[in-house]
Amino acid sequence: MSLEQVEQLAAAGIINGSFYALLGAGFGVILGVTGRFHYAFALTFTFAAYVTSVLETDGHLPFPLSGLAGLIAAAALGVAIERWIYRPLAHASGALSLLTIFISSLGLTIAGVNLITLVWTAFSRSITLIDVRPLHIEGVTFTTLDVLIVATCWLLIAALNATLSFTDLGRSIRAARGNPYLARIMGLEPDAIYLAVFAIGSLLCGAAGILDGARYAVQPNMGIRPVVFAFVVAFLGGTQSRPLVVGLAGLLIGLIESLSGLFVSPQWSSLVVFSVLFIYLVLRPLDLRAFRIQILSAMPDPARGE
Amino acid sequence: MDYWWDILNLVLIFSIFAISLNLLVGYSGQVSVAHAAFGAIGGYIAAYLSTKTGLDFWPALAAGAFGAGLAGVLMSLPALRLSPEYLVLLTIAVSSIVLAIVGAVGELGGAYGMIATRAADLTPLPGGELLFPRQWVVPLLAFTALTYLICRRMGESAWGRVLRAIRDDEIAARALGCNVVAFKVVVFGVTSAFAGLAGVLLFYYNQIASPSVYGLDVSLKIFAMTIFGGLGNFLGSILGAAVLQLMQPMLEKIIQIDPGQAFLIQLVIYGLGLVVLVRVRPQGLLPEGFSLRGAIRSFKSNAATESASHAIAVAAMPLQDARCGAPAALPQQSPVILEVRGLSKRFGGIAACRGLDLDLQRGKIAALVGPNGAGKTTVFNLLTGALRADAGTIRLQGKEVRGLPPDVIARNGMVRSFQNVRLFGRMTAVENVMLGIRQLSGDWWCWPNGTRGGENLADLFLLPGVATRVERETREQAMEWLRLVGLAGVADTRAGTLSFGQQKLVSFARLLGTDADVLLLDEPASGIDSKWVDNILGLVAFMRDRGKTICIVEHSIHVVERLADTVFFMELGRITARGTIGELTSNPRLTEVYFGTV
Amino acid sequence: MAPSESASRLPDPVEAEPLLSVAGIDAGYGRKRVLHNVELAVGPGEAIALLGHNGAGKTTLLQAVFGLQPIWKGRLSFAGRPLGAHHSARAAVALGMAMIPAERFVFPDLTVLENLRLGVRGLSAAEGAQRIHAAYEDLPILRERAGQLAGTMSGGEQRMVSLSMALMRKPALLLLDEPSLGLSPAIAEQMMARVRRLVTQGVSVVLVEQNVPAALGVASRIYVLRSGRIILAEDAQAFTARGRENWWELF
Repeated sequence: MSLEQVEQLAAAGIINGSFYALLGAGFGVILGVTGRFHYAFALTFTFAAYVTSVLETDGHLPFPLSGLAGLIAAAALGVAIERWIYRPLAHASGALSLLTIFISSLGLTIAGVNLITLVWTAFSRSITLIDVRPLHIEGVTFTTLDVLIVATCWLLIAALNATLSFTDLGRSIRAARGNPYLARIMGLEPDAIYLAVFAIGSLLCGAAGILDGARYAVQPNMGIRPVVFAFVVAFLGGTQSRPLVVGLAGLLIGLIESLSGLFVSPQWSSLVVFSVLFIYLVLRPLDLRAFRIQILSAMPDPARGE
Repeated sequence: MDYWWDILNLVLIFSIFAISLNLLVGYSGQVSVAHAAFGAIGGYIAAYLSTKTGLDFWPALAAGAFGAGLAGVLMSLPALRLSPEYLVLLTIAVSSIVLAIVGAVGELGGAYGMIATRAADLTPLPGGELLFPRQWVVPLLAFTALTYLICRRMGESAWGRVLRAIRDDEIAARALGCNVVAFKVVVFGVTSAFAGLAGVLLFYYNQIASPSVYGLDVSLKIFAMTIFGGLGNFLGSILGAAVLQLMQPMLEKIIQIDPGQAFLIQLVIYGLGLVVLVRVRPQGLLPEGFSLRGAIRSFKSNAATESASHAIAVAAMPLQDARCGAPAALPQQSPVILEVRGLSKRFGGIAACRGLDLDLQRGKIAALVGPNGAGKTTVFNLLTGALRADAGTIRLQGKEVRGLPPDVIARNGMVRSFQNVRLFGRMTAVENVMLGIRQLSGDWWCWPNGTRGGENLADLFLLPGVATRVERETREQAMEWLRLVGLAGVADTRAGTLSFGQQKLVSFARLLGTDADVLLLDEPASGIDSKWVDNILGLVAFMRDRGKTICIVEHSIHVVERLADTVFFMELGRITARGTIGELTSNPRLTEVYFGTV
Repeated sequence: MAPSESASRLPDPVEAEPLLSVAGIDAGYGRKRVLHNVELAVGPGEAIALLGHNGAGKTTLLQAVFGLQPIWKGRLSFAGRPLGAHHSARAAVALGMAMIPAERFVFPDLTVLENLRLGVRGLSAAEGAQRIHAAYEDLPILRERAGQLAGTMSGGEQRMVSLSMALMRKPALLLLDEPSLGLSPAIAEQMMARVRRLVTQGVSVVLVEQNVPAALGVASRIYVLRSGRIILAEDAQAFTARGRENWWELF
């Protein structure tokens, strides 16, 4: 175990961790405000990467535009899912909505991912964002792409944080998250807020997908593992926390995953992460009270006699 | 032809997965996406034992199922305290951990898995070695039938009724005396064991155990099968397994799509199918407990709801006339049935209860009144064990019950009603009342509820005669109670469709069914029309006349006046006055406390 | 708002057009009917109190008026306009109503200023700033604590903030659910004094209160609810004249 090894692993941990941070922040804002178990996050992730990749290679659109298109596609998909799938389903399912939304989310992901495979085949594609060149600093090696990834992730998280803290919309979102009943009394419209939250969360998700596609490859199953990490980071960071805090939780997870490589061989690192989650769930059952109350008091709908 | 035998075999193996998952998700309401991971545990145990130690088929099968069952029991322990959203997360974690382990350990073949060294051999049973798909059909049919019969027996019995109660309202189930912890542990253990069994079969059938065979996507597929077939319907699970497994072959053979495309298209279809199904027909292809006989009975009783209100008016008469004198307390029984001293509870900085003292006289009705925020409902929660008190003693018939879990206190003879009723909405009225009735017995195998009959697995499987007899008796008793409250006509109607007043009456019938000596009623007369109030009050007086001890929390002084023998005035967490309502309302200080001062 | 008559004058319901009119209302949750045939009226610049035991339906009535609960039967009208059975809280706010719930009446994770800002959503920046400034003038403590998280304030302070929030839109009708709950008598009196001042400025108030004397200090007329029905409607003086010891039989 040399210092150089530690530094290299730490660098990898920071890069991965930034990525998890973005995932957790995006997923967390959706979960915290709407309470929906949005497994189809994985689909938005993959869809954004594909849109960018296809526009780039087949459409010959340069990066900034193709990336932008990917982000818009992700946001649009998220909003569409909330508007036409989740919202009517939640109205119809009442107390069972957690389960039914999870199921339909699952179905959407399965259908969507395989539809993508039918259209664009399972062969991996690529995304080129910038010229990838290696960088060496103090014996640690990484690439220009890694720098872009870390910068983009934290920029987006900071933008989300700022939006929530300083804008009218952000205030409304935080109000709806912290006290849905009072938010309604003050004249806030839950439906509109949910759409905004899905747009924002999906945008961040799409960005993560594009970055992941650039870093590794774009292939249909690319979203399945990240969505699990999004869940983990969002819960660990706290569904009512500010995005920067959730981001830090993601960074921590990335570092734990990476640095565990000092003690166990690499194939065990995901085990370490899930064990952390498992231990958290075993030791902190009291914390979920806040989540439960949040879910149960989520904006009641007069049309259903709530 | 082998192609179709192969598909049938896979349908059968996945039916085992789906049926057992249905018992867990559909009947108990525990949403798990780790089912295939338990299959992995079973499959890998069998693979390891058979390849490394040359163990035969049957012992390896037993070991795999047992190992998976044990793992299920272990997972259930942290799951007990988790709400549904966190439970799903836990099962995701467990699935990922299991797969990470089997994928990383060299001894277990890593990412490539372990290849079987021998085929499954059914000796000493007839059948010999299973080398071709056709040879597997009969044994798999047997395994599937066994799974179906066992799960069905568990689900459609008194045992299953308790599971469904836990699913619909765990708190109410506990308050009636159901040992929720034990039921959850058993259902996790049993369903995981079946998953392990299916996992072992999958290993022997495919002759390989590898992480991809048991991945999260397989768990989700099994989940989809269960949903398709209908939660709470085991035949549906088989149907669901068939539909999902057959889709691809049908696309290939009948619509003549090439295999690669067919694989993808079937997944798109079943994904969209899930989305549509859960929206349009959430109960799945077949509804819960669907049976022709039940459908006809329920149709008949719907027509009877109109006459139910007449029945109530009629039933109210006998109640009032039946007011015989209260049976005198037996000489050796103390007149004080519940003694509470120094009960205290703090929530953060707020003392909800401080040194509360209370005595309930046997066979009398007491009422707790006080201004808002005095802590009245908290007292009920503390007495019944729903909340853990910080200090104090609670003696029920001389026995200390503070610190005992709610179901134990209920079985010791103190139960409560809820302000918002908390009936099990998806079950019929008579099933609700049956859940209150418990034939307690001291026999050692009467675990987990301490009862004979279908609620204990030993009787359920080993002494079916006893189970049937107890079930019949329980139903008869339940009908008696429903007749008493005038709702026999709606016995087979789903409780969730009854009016609020009817629901209240059913919940009282349920409480009477528990035969508990002490009944704590939380706002018995709230939320109902005045015509119902008279019935409810008559019923409460009737309960008292039959020797029950009752304590009510009531905000309406009006109701308290009509019912209570003694009234306790509670302010700021302690009882500061007791007497008749007349005494308390003529006390100027209490009047000031109750109505407020300027 | 033009300063109106003093608070002790009772507007005659027959002559003056009521600001809020509730007739024959039935409402409830799920299958539980909570309100039966409830009827009441509030005139402009008038304060009425809803009294009754816990669970009598007082909060449900406020929710029905404000659009948080659907109305099963009956008619509701505000400022001469009929409101639909499923009108929304958003519509209620737009028409000039404001409500303060009994519990959790501020946004705990937002600062005092952010809480107030939510009240001026939709108004122009200038107008919004002006109203917040006016709120600071009315209650200087708001300015002092503008950056403090509302959840860290005491109960009484939170109540004061909640009242300022409700007043941001200059409502014509204020629905207050147990404003004195959990407050010490001194702070409760401060709260009530503020409400009395509002009434003199012409704001109509529907006050749900457990603390009867405090309610009588503000309202000119009272309604008593019991088990979802109005069993008594009379003016405050007559109710006080009954004598405390006789209030029990109404609850």
